[in-house]
Amino acid sequence: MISKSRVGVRYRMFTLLATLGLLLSMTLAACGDNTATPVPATTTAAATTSAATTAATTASGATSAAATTAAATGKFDGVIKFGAPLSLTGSLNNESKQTQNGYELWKEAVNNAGGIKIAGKAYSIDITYYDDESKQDKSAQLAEKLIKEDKVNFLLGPYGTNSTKTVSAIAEQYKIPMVEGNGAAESIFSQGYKYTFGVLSPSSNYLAGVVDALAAQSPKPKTVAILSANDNFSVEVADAAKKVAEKNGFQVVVYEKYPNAETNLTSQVAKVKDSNAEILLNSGHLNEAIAVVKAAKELKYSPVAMGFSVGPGLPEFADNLKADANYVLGGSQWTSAVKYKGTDIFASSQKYYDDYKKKFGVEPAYQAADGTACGLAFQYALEKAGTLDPTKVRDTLAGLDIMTFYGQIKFDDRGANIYKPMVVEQWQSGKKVTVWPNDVAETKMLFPTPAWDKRS
Amino acid sequence: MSLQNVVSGLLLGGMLALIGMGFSLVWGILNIVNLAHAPTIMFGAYITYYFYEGLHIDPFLALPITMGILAIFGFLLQQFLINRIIKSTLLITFLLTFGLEVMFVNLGRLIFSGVPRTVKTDYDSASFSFLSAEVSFKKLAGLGIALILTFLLYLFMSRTKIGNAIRATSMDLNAAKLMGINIANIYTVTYAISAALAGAAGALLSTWNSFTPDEFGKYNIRAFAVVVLGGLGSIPGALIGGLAFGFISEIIGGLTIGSGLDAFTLSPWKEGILFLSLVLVLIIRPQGLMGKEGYR
Amino acid sequence: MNIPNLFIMAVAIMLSIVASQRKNKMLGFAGLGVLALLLVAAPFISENKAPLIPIFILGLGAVGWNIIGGYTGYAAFGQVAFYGLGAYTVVLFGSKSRTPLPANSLSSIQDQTIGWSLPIAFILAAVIPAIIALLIGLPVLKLKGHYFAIATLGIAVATPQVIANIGCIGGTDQNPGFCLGLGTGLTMRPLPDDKEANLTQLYFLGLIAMTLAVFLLWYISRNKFGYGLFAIRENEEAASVMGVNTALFKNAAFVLAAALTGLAGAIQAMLQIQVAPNEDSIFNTSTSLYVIVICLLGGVGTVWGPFIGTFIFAFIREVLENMPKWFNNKGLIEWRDVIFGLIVVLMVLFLPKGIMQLVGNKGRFTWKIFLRNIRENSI
Repeated sequence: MISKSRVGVRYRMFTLLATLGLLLSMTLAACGDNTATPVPATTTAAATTSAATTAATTASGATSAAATTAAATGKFDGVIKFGAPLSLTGSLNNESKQTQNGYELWKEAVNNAGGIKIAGKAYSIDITYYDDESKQDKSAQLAEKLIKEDKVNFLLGPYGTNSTKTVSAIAEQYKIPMVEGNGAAESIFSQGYKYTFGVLSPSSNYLAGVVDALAAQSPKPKTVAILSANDNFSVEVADAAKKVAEKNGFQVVVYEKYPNAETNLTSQVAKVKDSNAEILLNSGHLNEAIAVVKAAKELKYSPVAMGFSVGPGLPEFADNLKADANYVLGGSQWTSAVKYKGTDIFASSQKYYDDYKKKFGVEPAYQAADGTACGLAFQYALEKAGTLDPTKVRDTLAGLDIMTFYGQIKFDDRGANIYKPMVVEQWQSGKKVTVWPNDVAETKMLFPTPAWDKRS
Repeated sequence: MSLQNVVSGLLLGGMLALIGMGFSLVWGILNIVNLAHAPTIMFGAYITYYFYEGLHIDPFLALPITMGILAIFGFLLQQFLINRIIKSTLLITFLLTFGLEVMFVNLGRLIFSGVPRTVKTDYDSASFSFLSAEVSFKKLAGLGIALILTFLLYLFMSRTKIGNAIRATSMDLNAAKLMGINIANIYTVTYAISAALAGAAGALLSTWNSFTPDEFGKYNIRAFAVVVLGGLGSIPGALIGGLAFGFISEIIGGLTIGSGLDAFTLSPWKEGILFLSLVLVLIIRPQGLMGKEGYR
Repeated sequence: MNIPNLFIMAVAIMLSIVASQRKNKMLGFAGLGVLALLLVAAPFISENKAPLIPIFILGLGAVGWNIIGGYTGYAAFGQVAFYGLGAYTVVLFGSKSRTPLPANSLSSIQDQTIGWSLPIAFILAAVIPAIIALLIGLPVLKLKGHYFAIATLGIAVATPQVIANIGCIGGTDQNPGFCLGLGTGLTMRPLPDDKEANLTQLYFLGLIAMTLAVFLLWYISRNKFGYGLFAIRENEEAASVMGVNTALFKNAAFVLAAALTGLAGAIQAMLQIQVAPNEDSIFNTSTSLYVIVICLLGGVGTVWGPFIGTFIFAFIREVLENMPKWFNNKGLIEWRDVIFGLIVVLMVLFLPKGIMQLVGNKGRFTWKIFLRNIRENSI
């Protein structure tokens, strides 16, 4: 009996010690990442390698080796650490990858161009990403982790309205400025937070452009049907679209919500068909947008125009729909056709498009440009502020007014960028072209959409 | 509500029946609530997609191949994994399938990436008019396949020796053992059939809408609903349950009370109503709408 | 001091395993004492205390599940419904209303709240889920086995849908002054002044709630109520014959579980500030499964199970979280959940009775434990 229990105790102690030893080595490894900023150039090389690779790899295989090597050659006087919890896995990972690419492209461009100059010193950029699994509770945790453990100087926005709301509340409490490009809901900006800035046009504009563009067509359609997914952001977009439509003299004949992430939308589209609405607007996400087009074709419902908040902007929209994507309109934050003369490193949309395509091998969606624009806002604010002090940087951000390839970046007193208009894209014979507003349009909008059986 | 809703409900129902049938088999015979059903449907969809994109094989022609591949997959899974814990409690088997689901879905993400895919055939959105409704060819074909598979399965269960052994096992495990039936083999065959049916459902689903690996989780809960509506372990029950579920879901989606913008619509309530009524059915008629105690 | 959370979690796992041993009383109490010291000190020595709080959040949920699932044998798979309800309740009653939107705003979406005091909101966050659990439990607990599991799952799916569709309570969209806009999500206002102090408070709230919950678990396990529950688990009909009021006992267990889970959700709501009736927000189906996995790791139906399990679970998650950083991020983010699933599968296969089997009364570790478990359950 005695010996037995002694064996038990000894065994337990052994496990305890063995496990502790293992853990200690693990945690020490983890500690290696925590470097104070700014760091002298000589130590930066080693310190950034791990962090920079953290940042780089998930971005579709391309690495930011350039940034690391630049740091290694001792060109920089320090590192500015950015952090972003992104949805690298989970339901939002597809769009979120674009955002990450946008951040990466900005980082690489700036680091190659000699970094950010603050008070005569050159700083390289380093971005740490974590995966929030497209879950809001995870975003909250990761924002804390970035701030406390990775000691980031500034936050870049996560993907999606819910996560952005959570991270903005945390940024507010730690007084760390965050510039985000992928949370458009007005409710993010109506909280009275001081440290959150959104470079993108807020949700009320998503379908407003499409409605405006259609109001200018002749013969002017009369009736509109609006479908919306039942989530925070989509409902806001649909709500605003309804108001804009009524203001433009359209009659809204159907206004209907469906459960979020529902892809079986036949009954909803059938209802729209019964109402004979001339325009079909849908506020939702990519899969829902694809489902609406498929259902419309299947039911032989041919509205004169179909407009979507999210969906047509992504290349996957046409990959999945092939020719059926043609004539579809979509609101977009940015397209490669917009002709802003920026003072930033990319300067023009065309150059951005080329750089992006060269690095990642695919066309940039507006989500990527959103991400890059966040970085640019920080870059200008930092150079102007001449310090890394978060409060001063925040104040500079609040007063920022710059012109970039992405458009004007300027924030109202809520932190929303209401100064940049949204554009309208249309798929025309397998290509996405910008058709509205007229001054940036590449070509005329194809209107009205022919009936399904009359298409070539 | 219109004829269109009835037609779409029927077409959706065929698909749901196919999803529910495999689920019902495993649950009724192995007494396992199989959360790995959804990833199996996912594999079916992606196999079909790669057959179509890579080898240009029509999804309907690829269907038997897909089913075959997944039957082998199911066979291996059951033989080497699920049979190892089959005797433990409900909770443990449930957690095993949960672990498998998490693993497979994330493997799916790794292999197939999160980019939405569709099998876009030439006849993708082709439909014909039936009175005031539009009937999609591919969905009608899907319904036909669901009916054929139901019939074949029914024949298999009632006419073949293995089928009879499976039924005997589900009726009385101990008696079946005494009759010299190798239970492990019966389980493996059952699971393989279930996986093949899930594969068929996935293959058909791949032509319906765009999908990502994350999409498929919801079909587990759909399968639950179908099984509960139709009655556990019953093959005709799964068919009826599926049709009922599809029908109710489309009717709710299309229901409008009143007219114009002030009309009351149930569309956003669809999921909520469906699952609350599922709970109600459970409470009022736990054996399902069609189920009779002991009937397979 | 800046001690990584991983280290704290690991030590806590070891200490709680030591403390849970009943063979050597002295060692057990010593372990318990050091564990208590560690947990009290943890928020002050940790480099980042925020990830420590979810340990107690999931832990509370796991204790709750252990009462209904472990003790009573009713496999509830929809605990997230109560978790979400608790989260919603605390924000609805604890958050101050927002000033109305300007008239020219394009957005008419309001998220008005009630704004009583936070302590009351926290109490309600346990009470309201409990009441709802009672209403649900009366009919649903009549079901058995898989059917009960599915009914709870159905309720978990339906709950956020119902909340999402209640656009306005106590007002209309046209007159939003009185409207509690549940559908689009609610935000906690105002933000706490001192973030660090707030986190410390939440940590201790979680710790105290967890301690009391584990104590409750222990207390239940050794009085009439607990014996009644065990009897129901083993054989409900026999228990009924023996004079156990099974309906009452089952419902009480379900309600207790819901109250604890609701409280857990409330603490989570304080961490993430904003809640929405979506899968990706507070109504994440995996939460229902996580609380069960925790119990499985620590041992289903035991007093120490949820406690040890929650630390192990947190430890695994933290390791998987940091893994990409350690291994230079070579595609490991994508592998993380695969590994998590694999851990669950291996656990179920080899150690279905929890990690305690390894250090159980037999003392010496052998591979035979694994083989025996497999043999026992395989056909």
